Amino acid sequence: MFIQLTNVSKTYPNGVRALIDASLRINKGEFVFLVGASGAGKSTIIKLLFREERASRGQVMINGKTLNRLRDGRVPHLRRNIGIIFQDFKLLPTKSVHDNVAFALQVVGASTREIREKVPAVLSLVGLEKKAEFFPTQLSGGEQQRVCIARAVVNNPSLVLADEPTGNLDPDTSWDIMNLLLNINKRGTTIVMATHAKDIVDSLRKRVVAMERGRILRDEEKGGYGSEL
Amino acid sequence: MSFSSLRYVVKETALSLRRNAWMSLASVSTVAISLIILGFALTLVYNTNQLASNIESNIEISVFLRTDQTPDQVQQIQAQIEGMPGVKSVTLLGKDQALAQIQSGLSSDLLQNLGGKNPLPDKLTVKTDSAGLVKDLAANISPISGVDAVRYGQGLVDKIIQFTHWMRWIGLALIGLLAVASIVLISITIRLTVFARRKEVQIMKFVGATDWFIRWPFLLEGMILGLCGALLASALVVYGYTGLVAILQDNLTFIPLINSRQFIMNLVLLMLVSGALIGSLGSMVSLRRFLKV
Repeated sequence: MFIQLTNVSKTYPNGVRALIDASLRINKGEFVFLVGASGAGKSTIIKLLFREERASRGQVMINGKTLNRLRDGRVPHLRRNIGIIFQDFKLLPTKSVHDNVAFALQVVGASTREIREKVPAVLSLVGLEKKAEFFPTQLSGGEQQRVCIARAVVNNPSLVLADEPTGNLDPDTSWDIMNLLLNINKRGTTIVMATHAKDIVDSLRKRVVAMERGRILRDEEKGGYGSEL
Repeated sequence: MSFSSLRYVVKETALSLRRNAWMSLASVSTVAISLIILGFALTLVYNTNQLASNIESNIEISVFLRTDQTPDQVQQIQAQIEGMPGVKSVTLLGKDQALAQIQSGLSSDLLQNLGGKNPLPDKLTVKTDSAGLVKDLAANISPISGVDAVRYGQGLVDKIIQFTHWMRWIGLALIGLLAVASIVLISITIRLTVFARRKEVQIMKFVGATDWFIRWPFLLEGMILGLCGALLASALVVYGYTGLVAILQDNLTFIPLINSRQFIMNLVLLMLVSGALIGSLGSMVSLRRFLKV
């Protein structure tokens, strides 16, 4: 799966110009950091990629398909190939850890057998196999984020989008989560991660796309967070 | 839909009904109250209709014959009117019978007082198939030779026709308004349960659920709530109506209320179907906004 944004602009109905003439190409298997201050346009790029928003101008392509022209009825099928990780985890408080992850399989019509096989496997990948029957409120922030990651990857997507996944976590926990994401990336999954975590970006030396006020400022292989931001 | 999806839908629906027990109760009461009003409005409209057609079918034309007609001529006129289209029946009240009827209320001998001559005319009573035909029939009957006068309460018939006509439309409009009001009320109530689960809906959209997959549990929930409300309302309406019929039949026998098993069955069936429809329509309406993610 590769991603290509060509001269993409996004203006929200309230007049905010969140993205201005942005072009970006991400290859299959890459790990890309989107960095920049709040309102720089990082989240907008993420939202464009899973078609929560449509581009106002320009073209967003995933795997050779133009998302601007994708019919609403096809959006669910696009999203089944994309895992999304949120800053606030977005777990269902009334479902156990196991059921929160199984939920992602159920809604795409997976069989009971598939659920019985895949959920324990992905829970042990994120190190939560012993807490399958716990409820989200009984877990720490880091553990909740692991559940969110498990839910994002249980469908075995080729792209994972992470919108500030460590934004609510302390530094040690953040590193645990990063290692988990790096692991998933090693298995061939493309990861696009929007973040403010300077030390993480600086020490991992991955590709960095720096943004400011809706424009792409800098795009570096093995980059750092940068001082201009 | 696969079996595991079906199981998911049923489980989610049951779970949601249990979790939102109070909200569900509110929805059920809303449906029940709306349908109770609807049910009683329906019985009212049907009974008014029946009453109106009763009155209509009781409207008669009185045809008074000239006193010089022989019994043969009277029979001929009767046969001629019976042959007209729209005539249900023609009955003869002979002049002797008429006199006897008047005599029965008096003590002295009426015939003797009148000098041995009966001044009363023969009278034919014509019943028609419907009240609308009365005017035209009367116009056709009066030129027949031997007919002296035709009476049918001219102004009254027109008024009754107008009244029943309006009553039908007002009843239909009333029922239509109540149905719309019920749908609105239920969509508001179900919107609250959907709102409580909007996070769930959003996550479902994010992990790639189709809109119909998200809709089914809510649809089923709405339908069940609507049906429960309808059952409650049916029980109350049937109980209330049959009770009312029993009281009225004892005390106000001249009001002929519909009391057939068929009518009550139809009423219950109609209310159950309306309940299910209102419930599912309500949940569809309230879900629409939350699916746009």
